Amino acid sequence: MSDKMHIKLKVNGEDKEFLAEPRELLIFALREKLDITGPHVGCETSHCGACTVIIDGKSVKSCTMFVGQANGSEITTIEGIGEPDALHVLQESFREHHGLQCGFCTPGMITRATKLLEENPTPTEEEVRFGMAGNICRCTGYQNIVKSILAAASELNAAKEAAQ
Amino acid sequence: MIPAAFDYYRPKTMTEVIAILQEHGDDARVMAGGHSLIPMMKLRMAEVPHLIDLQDIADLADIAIEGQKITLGAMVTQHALIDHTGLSSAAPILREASLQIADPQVRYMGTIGGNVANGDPGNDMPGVMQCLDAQINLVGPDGSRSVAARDYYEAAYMTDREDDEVLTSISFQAPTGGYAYEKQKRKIGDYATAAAAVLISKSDGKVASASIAMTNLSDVPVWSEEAGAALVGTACDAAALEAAVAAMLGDIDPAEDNRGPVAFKRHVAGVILKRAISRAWDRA
Amino acid sequence: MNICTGSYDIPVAYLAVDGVYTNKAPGGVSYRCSFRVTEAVYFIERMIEVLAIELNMDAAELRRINFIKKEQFPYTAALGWEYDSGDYHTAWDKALKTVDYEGLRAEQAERVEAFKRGETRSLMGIGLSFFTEIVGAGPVKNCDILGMGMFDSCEIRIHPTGSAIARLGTISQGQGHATTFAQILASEIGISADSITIEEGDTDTAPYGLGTYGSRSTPVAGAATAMAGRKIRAKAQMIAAYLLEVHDNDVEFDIDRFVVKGAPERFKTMKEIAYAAYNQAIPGLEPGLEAVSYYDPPNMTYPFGAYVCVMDIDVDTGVPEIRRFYALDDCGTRINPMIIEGQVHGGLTEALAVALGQEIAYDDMGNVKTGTLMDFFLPTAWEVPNYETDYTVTPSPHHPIGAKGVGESPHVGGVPCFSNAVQDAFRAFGLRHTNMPHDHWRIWQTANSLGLHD
Ligand SMILES: Cc1cc2nc3c(=O)[nH]c(=O)nc-3n(C[C@H](O)[C@H](O)[C@H](O)COP(=O)(O)OP(=O)(O)OC[C@H]3O[C@@H](n4cnc5c(N)ncnc54)[C@H](O)[C@@H]3O)c2cc1C
Ligand code: FES
Ligand code: FES
Repeated sequence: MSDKMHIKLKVNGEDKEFLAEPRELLIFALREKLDITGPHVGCETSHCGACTVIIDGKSVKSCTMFVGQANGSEITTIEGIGEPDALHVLQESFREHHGLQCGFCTPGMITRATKLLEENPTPTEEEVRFGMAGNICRCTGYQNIVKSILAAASELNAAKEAAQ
Repeated sequence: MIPAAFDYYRPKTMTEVIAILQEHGDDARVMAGGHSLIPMMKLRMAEVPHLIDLQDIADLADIAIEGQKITLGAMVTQHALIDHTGLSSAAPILREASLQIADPQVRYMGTIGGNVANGDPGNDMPGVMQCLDAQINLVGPDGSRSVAARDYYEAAYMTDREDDEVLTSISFQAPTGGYAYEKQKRKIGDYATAAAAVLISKSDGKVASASIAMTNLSDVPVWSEEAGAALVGTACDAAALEAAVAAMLGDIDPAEDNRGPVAFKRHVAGVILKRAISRAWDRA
Repeated sequence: MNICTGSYDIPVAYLAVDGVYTNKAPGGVSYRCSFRVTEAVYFIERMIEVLAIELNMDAAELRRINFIKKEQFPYTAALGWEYDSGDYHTAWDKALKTVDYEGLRAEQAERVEAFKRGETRSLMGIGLSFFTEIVGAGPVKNCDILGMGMFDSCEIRIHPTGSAIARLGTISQGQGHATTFAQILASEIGISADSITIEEGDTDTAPYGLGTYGSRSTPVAGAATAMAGRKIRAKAQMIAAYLLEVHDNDVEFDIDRFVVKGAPERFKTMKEIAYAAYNQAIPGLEPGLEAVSYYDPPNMTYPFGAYVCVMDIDVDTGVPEIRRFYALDDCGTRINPMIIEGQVHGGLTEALAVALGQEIAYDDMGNVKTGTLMDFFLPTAWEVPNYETDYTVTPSPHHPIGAKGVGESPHVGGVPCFSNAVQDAFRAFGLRHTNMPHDHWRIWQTANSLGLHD
């Protein structure tokens, strides 16, 4: 067996240090070592997007990254996007527009959507569908997810305009 | 889905990479984005006792456009290929192809070097590189060398690269004329049922030159010299398209899989190629 | 399967079913009723299409003249089920009108002509389906699981503060029970939905129940909720009458309070009643305000719907594109429209997957060939259309609030609708029937076998 590595990560603004075998997948390090259970394991084969997190500014499926590979990076999970009593606009919007049913895909959806809106603050419906195509949902048929993201985009833009 | 254990290396220089490769032979492998390699390791279809992560090697993620010459560092991601405005105007076929690869998350991690080096017939970039007549630049214990993408692929997962060589960059002349990358797939994230890369230049209303490559229709990407030749001198009329398709069908050798039987794939390959030619011709 | 006479007035039916014992997953199997009514509805809705071909008739018209009529309900089907209520003609006419069915058929005929003239390689399919679901299992007299009766339950406790907790024998996996059941209860007992906690799934505290599947939660546990709520209201009425010093029959319920008949300024709110229930000695009444209901439904409920799908098919590649999907659902009384629509979108998407390529395939040695989500058609947001939803309301006569259930309906109606759209595209060229899943290569093969690639 390979030696354990000393891993340092900044997760949701907090420094974390722990020992792990480099082959451990990031998703399991987050969930089992750091008790950050927002990102889910849907398929473990890089297809469903439930495990999506933001790593150094990229949307990444954390089941397809070794913890050794992530060493030294800055990670945002759904826990870092909003708090139960201070929800992010996207979280509010998913609630408002019934953008989730069972909620299994939701952490990945919202984490991915955060990045999508950062890169494209005024997406069309088509751009949202294309930009969210790495995330599978088996409950909602996506319609209300798309609606939630579009509504959040307009809200964020309105807030930006008001601030100027 | 836990891969077999490995020693993890994250060197800062290529010299160190080569040294580790030399020391461990085919027990060592480099990893770029990991989005082909990690799934294979998780399924234990690949075992890599010594894994060398390339992320800290300087300059491997550069995109250089010098006059007509374009050089893409091995670690340039598909996301970067889509995002780079200079590249989108200098070689728009790369953006068009990249947008048809995988899904947004995979494109943030997957690299051009990994895609080209991997040797999976399903990868889209090898065909594009053959179409562009790109040079694949490698470095190894004996220094660097270049191989034409058209000579690089030997069989599925078998390439001209030696075990102790690393792909550092890919270079090619900026294409002129029209381009198209046409891909049929079942859904976003799927590999091609059939895909075609086409570049066409035009003079006096006729095809001056044409380059055609096909993806996932053989155990290697297929650059069909004769299909391109069939278009030269024509106005891309129906007869020329038929001739190009006939030539291409002589070069491919698809296998049956979940995407369908051979007869279907051959038919679709022809349809996709015609569409790609027409689009490239319209843009020429 | 014995619901397979569908929405039609078929006087005599005979059904023989082969059961196969296997350790392999049947193709396409998943969730949302792909083991039950979907097969039955797929069967009858394909039959009706084939019959329309045989009779050289329009398939919409053939359905219309065979529908069970509104006045025939409750209707006993040839295979024994008693359909509780329905108004199929109204739903069907509304659907066809909304999509401009005749216009679509005219456009389709033009497309066929253009195809024959060699001007296009795309064909248009109009998928129709009309389904009748059977949900809300079920009456203990004829439904059980391994001998366990299929009742469900709700236990309500009103707190002295005027808030409430209701515990049920079902469990939500995302169907929005906390919202739906709180709404049912809010309108029964006049406590706002915000002040009602719904608790499910803890066997230490929940009343006995059979759980959530088969679109049974609202028809059965929702009914139990309404019935338990009514017990609360009956006791609250006595308390209110006592507090207002009038006879029990002289107060009436008005949204969130009991008022003295003819004197609306004299009232007691549910909040006041709840407080009094615990803190005031009321002659002849035990303190407290709680109730439990175990609901054994007198019958199943029979939601129905009319779906239309418009699809363009690329004959050369076998790639279908859904241009429009219209779904009219009648699930009786509609409790929360947003939740209903969410269920419809999700069920239709599952139906799309099943109809167009969600196949668990095996090789000759019985090895699964589709081991990851990459290996079959599992739609992402990109491949899924924007659905149009619509409704009619035909309440269930035997359910306390007339609700019927909707979770599985879109899957049940959606699978035949998508399949019919694919097959309808080739009707003009002689196709009678071809099996699902309609993935690219199978559609291509259909076109090929009809000589459309020559
Ligand atoms: C869900 C999903 C869908 C996908 N869909 C597509 C698709 O439609 N089309 C497509 O083309 N790809 C697709 N891919 C693959 C993806 O694009 C990969 O990221 C890409 O093929 C490999 O790039 P990488 O950087 O991840 O390489 P890695 O996985 O790191 O490496 C792949 C192989 O190349 C070798 N290698 C990598 N870099 C070098 C180098 N510089 N020198 C020498 N050898 C090297 C590695 O040793 C390994 O053997 C998909 C992947 C996933 C997970
Ligand atoms: S768990 Fe990572 S993509 Fe499904
Ligand atoms: S809400 Fe259940 S998977 Fe998306």
